Amino acid sequence: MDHGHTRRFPDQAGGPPCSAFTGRVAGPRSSSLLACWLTELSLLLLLMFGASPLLRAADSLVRYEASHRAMGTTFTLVVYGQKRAYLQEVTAQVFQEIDDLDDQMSNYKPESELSSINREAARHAVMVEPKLFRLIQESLEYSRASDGAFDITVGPLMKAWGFFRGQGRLPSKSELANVLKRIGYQHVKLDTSAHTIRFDTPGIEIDLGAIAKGYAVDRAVKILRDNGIRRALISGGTSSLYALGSPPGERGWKISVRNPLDTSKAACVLRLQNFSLAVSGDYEKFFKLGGKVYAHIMDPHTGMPVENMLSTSVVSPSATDSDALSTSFYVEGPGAVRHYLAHYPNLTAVLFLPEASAHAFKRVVLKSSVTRLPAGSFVSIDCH
Amino acid sequence: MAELASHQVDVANWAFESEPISVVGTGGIDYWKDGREVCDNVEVIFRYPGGRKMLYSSILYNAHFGFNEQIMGDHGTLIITIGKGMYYREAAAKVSNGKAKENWWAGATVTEQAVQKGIPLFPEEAQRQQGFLDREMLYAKRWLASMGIYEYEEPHDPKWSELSNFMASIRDGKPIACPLDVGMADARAVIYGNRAVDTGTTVDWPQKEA
Repeated sequence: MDHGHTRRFPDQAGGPPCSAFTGRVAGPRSSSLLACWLTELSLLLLLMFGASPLLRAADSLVRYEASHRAMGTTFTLVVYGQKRAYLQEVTAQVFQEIDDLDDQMSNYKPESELSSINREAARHAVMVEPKLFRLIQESLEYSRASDGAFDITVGPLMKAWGFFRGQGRLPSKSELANVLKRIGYQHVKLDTSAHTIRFDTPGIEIDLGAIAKGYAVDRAVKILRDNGIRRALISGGTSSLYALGSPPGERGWKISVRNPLDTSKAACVLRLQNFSLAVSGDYEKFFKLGGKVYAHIMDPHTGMPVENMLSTSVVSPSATDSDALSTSFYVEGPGAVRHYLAHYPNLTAVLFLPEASAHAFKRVVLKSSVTRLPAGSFVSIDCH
Repeated sequence: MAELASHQVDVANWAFESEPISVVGTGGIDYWKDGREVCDNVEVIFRYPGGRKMLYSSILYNAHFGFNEQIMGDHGTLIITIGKGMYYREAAAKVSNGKAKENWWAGATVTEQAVQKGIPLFPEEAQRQQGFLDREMLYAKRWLASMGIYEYEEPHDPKWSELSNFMASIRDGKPIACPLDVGMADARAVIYGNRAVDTGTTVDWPQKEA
């Protein structure tokens, strides 16, 4: 069939036009027409199967995935790039950074800088490494903003409830009352000019468990960006994630948030690009006693595990922020979260609240009053 | 197979809510050359619907692991033995059957403790046994029992439970906890398992009539 149309291509401007798709050319013009036909066919094939330079680049990308144990959990990183050896090298650099942070901020390691602060800051001011100082400063800002719902001094409470190196235990009322005297972010005094920290009450201990993983994820993302990585996902224990760019051929990284009552199912499905997600929940670290469940997320005001929340998810441009806020929102509940989101931009929170039936929960999706997504970011949340 | 494997087959049939569909196996009288006619070791693999499998191993010249059942799935591993159970979480970060090229899970932090060291299935029991007062109470009871002052009450064992259920079913017509079809399914698995070991072939379960 002769379609009867012709096309000119820039490099053939002076030559005869290609009679496309005829298949009926003959005689002296046949060789040049055949060349034309082949050229057009190859261009068509290129258009169909990968003429786009972007698609070609995506096809040639190598995927590299690795996991690493740190901070009492497993960090998983997947990166896309041109050369596997390079991706391996960058991944090693990321995991080294996380190990360094763990060595510095762990309250499980007696030799860490944080353990040293906890031992000495009640006796004298302790000079703190600038980045750790800044993180403690940020943590205290979260404590003030949440009126103490987020509190990095809950360490003694975690010990009293047996969640430090243990499976949990029920403390006595008198034990709790004594421990509560040693809880309170107000007891942590920072000197911003001298970069020192001091506790005004003996027995205060800092525990960065509710923010350190998010911070480590942000530091990892910085290393990835600095090394030219544009497509990666890092997950700290599945609870702190950052989606850098998107996987090849997709818009955003697909992330399923576990249903808190049936963790094999997804309660929400997100697609994120250049955004972080943090999840807090009562279903991984808890103990049962006398038919009652005691989870590891504490209300620093009462000294008791939070009972009126099953899980919280927070989406934010910064993994440090989302990590801290997922804990803070878990303790505070919907009213305070709404108030917070009215004042802070670019946040989405999904709260999973218990219902009267033990097999049901209510999802509440709340967004910041002001949302101005940073350039290159993409967020889609589907809570079916 | 009959004396030992039948218990684990029973657990597998219960956990998978199905009988096996085929079995392969090997074994032999390789250590106890004392004239016995029953294998002193068997290794049997039962295949269940949906690609699930039960591996049974029994070795009569090594007691290191004793009796236990290990139930392994994509969420974790349960290790159950008499009076004790542990659960080891899988640190799964990715959704297995997602159509997207990248499909990740997010959830509460999966701790290394849960993955590596395990979580006791009966934390109340574990905690009670660890408590100072409970330990002291136990010693006191033992001492009083040795003096004949206190009658030590042993917890009921599974035989007691089964027999009392059997009696209750005769006396009161209550449904029996271990009905005939469960026993039959177990017996079939034993017979086919033995056949697989003896012949070295795959033994299939007969197709059920529609």
